Amino acid sequence: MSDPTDNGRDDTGRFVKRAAESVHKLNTPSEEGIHPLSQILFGWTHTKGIGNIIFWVLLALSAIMLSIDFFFPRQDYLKFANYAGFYGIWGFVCFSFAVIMGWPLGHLLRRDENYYGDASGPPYGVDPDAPMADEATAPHHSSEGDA
Amino acid sequence: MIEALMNAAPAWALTHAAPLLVMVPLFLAPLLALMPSGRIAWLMAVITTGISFCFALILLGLVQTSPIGVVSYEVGRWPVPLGIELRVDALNAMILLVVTTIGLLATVFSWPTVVAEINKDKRALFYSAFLVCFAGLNGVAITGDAFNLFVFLEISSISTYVLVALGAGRDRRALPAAFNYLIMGTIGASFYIIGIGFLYAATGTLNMHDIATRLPELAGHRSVQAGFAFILVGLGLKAAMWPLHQWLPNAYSYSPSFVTMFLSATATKVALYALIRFLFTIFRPDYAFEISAFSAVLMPLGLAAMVVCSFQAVFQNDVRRILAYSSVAQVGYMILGVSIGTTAGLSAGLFHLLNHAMMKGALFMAVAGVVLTYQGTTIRDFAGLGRSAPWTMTAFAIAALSLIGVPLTAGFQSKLQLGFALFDQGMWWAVALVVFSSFLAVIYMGRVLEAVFFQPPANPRKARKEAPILMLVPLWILALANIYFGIAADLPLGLARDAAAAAFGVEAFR
Amino acid sequence: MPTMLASLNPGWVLIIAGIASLFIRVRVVRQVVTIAAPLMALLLLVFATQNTDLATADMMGLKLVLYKVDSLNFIFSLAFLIAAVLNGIYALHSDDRIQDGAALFYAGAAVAATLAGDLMTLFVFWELTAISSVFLILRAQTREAYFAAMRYLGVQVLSGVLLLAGIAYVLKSRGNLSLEAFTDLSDPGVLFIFIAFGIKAAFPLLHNWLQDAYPKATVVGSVVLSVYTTKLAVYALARMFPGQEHLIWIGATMTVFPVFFAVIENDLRRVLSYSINNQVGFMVCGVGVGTPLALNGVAAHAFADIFFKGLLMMSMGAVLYRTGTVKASQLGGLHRSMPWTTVFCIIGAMSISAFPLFSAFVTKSMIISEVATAGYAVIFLMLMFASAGVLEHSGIKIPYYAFFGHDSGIRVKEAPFNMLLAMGIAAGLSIFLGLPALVPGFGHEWLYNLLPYREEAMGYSHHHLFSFSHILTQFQLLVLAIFAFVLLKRIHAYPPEKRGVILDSDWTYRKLGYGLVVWAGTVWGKAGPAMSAAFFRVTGRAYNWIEAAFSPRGELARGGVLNGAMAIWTAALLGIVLLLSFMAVS
Repeated sequence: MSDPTDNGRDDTGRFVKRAAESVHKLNTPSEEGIHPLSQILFGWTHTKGIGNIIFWVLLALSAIMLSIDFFFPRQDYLKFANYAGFYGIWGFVCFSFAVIMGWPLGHLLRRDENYYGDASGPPYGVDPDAPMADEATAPHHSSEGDA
Repeated sequence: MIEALMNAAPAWALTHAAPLLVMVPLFLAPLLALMPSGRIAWLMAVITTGISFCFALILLGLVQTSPIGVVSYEVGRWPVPLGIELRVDALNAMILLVVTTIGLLATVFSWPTVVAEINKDKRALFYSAFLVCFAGLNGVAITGDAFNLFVFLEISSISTYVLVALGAGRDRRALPAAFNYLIMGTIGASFYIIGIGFLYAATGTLNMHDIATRLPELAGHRSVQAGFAFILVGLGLKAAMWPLHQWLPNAYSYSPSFVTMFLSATATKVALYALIRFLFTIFRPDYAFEISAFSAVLMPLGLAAMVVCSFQAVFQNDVRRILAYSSVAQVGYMILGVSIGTTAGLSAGLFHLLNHAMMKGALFMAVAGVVLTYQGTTIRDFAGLGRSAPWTMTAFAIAALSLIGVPLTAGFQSKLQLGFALFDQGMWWAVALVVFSSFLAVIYMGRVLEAVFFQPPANPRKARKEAPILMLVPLWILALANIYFGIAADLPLGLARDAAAAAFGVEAFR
Repeated sequence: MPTMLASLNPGWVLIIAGIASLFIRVRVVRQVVTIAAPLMALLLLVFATQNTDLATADMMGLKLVLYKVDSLNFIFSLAFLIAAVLNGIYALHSDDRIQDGAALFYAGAAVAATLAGDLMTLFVFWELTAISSVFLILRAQTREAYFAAMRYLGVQVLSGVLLLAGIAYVLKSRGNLSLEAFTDLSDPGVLFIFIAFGIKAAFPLLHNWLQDAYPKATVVGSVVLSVYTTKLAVYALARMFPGQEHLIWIGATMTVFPVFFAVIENDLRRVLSYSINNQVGFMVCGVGVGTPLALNGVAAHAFADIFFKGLLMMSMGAVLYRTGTVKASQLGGLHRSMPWTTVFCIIGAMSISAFPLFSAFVTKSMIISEVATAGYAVIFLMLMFASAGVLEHSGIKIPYYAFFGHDSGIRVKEAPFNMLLAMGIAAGLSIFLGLPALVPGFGHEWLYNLLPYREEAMGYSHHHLFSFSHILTQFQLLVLAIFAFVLLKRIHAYPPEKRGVILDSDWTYRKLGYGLVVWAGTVWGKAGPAMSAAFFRVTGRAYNWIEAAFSPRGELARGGVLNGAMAIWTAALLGIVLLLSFMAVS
């Protein structure tokens, strides 16, 4: 430790350098702006027919989840929660209800973006390089920054 | 500080403190008019107000050490019911202290603004008029004679009309404002003197203490009730009680900055003092007609002032007018406290009177600083001043927060006391209105503060320019007092409580 | 520890540091302060003696306890301080004195309010949080942010004055300012305090300041805001109103109604604001149940929520920072350019959805389990609905529309490193808190050890938390709900994201109230002169008489300079006073 050999240092140096290079490569977006890491982590989402696969996998998973209930009865405080499949079905129903209600509520409550007459551009603190959102170019209420 | 002063003062100063407090400025005033230079007049005015301030402190000390809590002085050694008596108790000792303190600070601070706003040849006369006004206000506060009070009220008022009219150098609208004020003020004074006439007819005396002792025998006497009504309305007008306040906004907006600052912190306060003196010491809050006046006139008017004038302030664009309307609203708080009719209520009202003198004094001083350096009083003119005049504007912000009633400021303490007094009577709805009015204060002061600290300057060439140091020092004294008395409220609260007890009668003192 | 340090409230450290950083122009120094101050405050808090009055003051005969730590406020202030460190890191990329100062001051005021030992001290810092936080919104420097900030300030100050009025009332009736729990809501003072807390906790119909203001704050600002105000209110409720039954229904309503708004909302930071509402609803409901385990659940869920909600806000902040927008309709496909942010956002989404092994699973379940045990069937169903709803808007909608879904074609740089670091720490915490105790005191047990009722928490942890049926039912709920999402997408029943604002109850004052004021102004403009004319006709005779009595001034009144109305007022008032005096005596 107190006396590293040349060889060892070289090895370490090369290893560190290689590691740094690969980290750098992993974090340098390609020319189209695609981050390499995203290919590794989320590349699978670009697979053809992924929608179908996810749908069927979830369908199967749901069926399994519900069927387990028939083999393991529960002892909850609330009696109705003990019926087989209660949690799953309640979750499904609630989720669907909340989403479906989005249609009428959207018609009822959605108004033009400048309904209150005070719409304006992106807030202070946004990256100066940010791509301009298409029409959010209303006069930016700016003042000389304090900083 | 008071003890040290009393030990150091010669014997004649102690015995004659009461008349000297008024006479020194009154007799120096004509002398000042003859001064060749405004600067000398200013220096003399500073010295004079300083002397009066010392006498006010001495009087406070005398009252506090006196076994009966009253210092009485017979002018010209005429025995009391016939001659004029100067009678100081904890109530007017407090008022005198307010008037002289503000007078001293205002005079020190005044020179730069007077140079900027008053013609060179009129400066000495200006200070002369100011001293007359100052003496008149002190006279109103110190006298124990009802007619003498009228005389001093007129002395102060007439000089005030002159002072307001001198604002014409900056804004011609000062002239109609002064004239309007003159008419209104005269109506008020006339009502007052008519009321005194009625009382004199009924009691045969003009000494306040004497009137008070004779009144209980005269229960149900029509002329006593008529006198009461005239005095209430006359003094209410002088104190800018809503809706008799309409002289005030113009008078405050167009008069010279220094005059505005001085008047806002003292003139209405002194009139309110006179009203309290009549309501509590001469008439008693347990007289049937006074009870009905409290509940059917003063309280609704106080509440209306709080709400209506706060609303009016919200819609003003001139900072001085905002502050003027806010002053009327604040008088509403004081009237509300008075109209509760209890010691707690009265002491809350008086406490607010003290604190309001501090915060309005500071606010108008800061505005005067802006008028001096940037020549403008609209909110637009204030935009961005937080950067170009941070010291002035920080003091302004402190006083504004105090006006709103933010905790740790003096304004908060007095609203708290007012709330306690109202809760005692179970009037939580009135507390709700007080809260609502504070909420309006957030809006109207918030508008100014927002412009000051968050908007870019309307004129970007505005240089970094503070008010002169001569103005900053008194300004910051008042601003820091707002914070100091917001944390350690014992001193002003004690003064107000003593004063309230004294107003209710010497027996309750201590 | 030296006595001076021992009595130094950690909140004050932050407040002082906040004020100082307003004046520090050198960026590096300020950055050090913004991170060192919360760390130092953390040390002070951890080593503070519990259950003693560490700092007191006297004001007008009232004893104020400025600093007192106990098991309930310890965990809240601990979370606040850790969050302050993370916020400091998250803000490192920006160079803004006002933002740094306001954030520190705001956090400090919240901590000091939490550690207050009496109502008056609580009130003072309660107000300071309101005033300091408004700068985080104003700093966005847009027109809408300015108006929203003013509305926000108005509501917050209203909460403060209500609290003060309540305190004054309670002081009169109870004679002290102690933080003893209230039981009777019928006392007007207590009701004032309850409403004041309710405003800050964003009770239904008192909630919209939150959705109004938070999404309009700066990138850093909304992250900071999402931590403190509502959790402080939850703490105050848990302190003053435990077991208050109204809270159960209020809380359950709070969990349910934001779900519907969040589904149709387009602004993703606003979706998260609704999500704050929803999560605080669980806590409020737990306070209402008021059993030891429920209060444990409240404290634990607040602790966990601060980090996963902060994490989600941070990820949306990063998106906003890089792309300039967080509108769902304009985003999509960002995982291509911001994979790290995507990963952290998914961790936050899974945490808030209460997936087993993530933090909300170990905290929210305590509340729901106590609701079930107490036999509130309807409430239980509402909370389960809200759990599914949370999965919808925070668990799926946020990551799906920002990072996946239809590719918007926006290609940006990954978020700055300091943002990634802050998100990484928050994500790590969110996972750590959800882990089973592999060794005693690890994972969720670390949190459970800090809870106010430690024994009960441990009992729950041993017998129920990671039981087979608990994990199974949770997975059933989640998997079936996700399946519902996929199914609805597949049959095109999922409402598309559209641009637009969603009306909420703030419509009443932003549109209706404003319209009324305008209308009243118009009416007054027409009716005012008419009424004046009528008044003048009626009083004309009396006026003539008075004019005759005071003729010189009467002359002047006609001269035109004098404000005639005022002379009339004077006379009218005189008449009233005279009449009253005569009536009162005869």
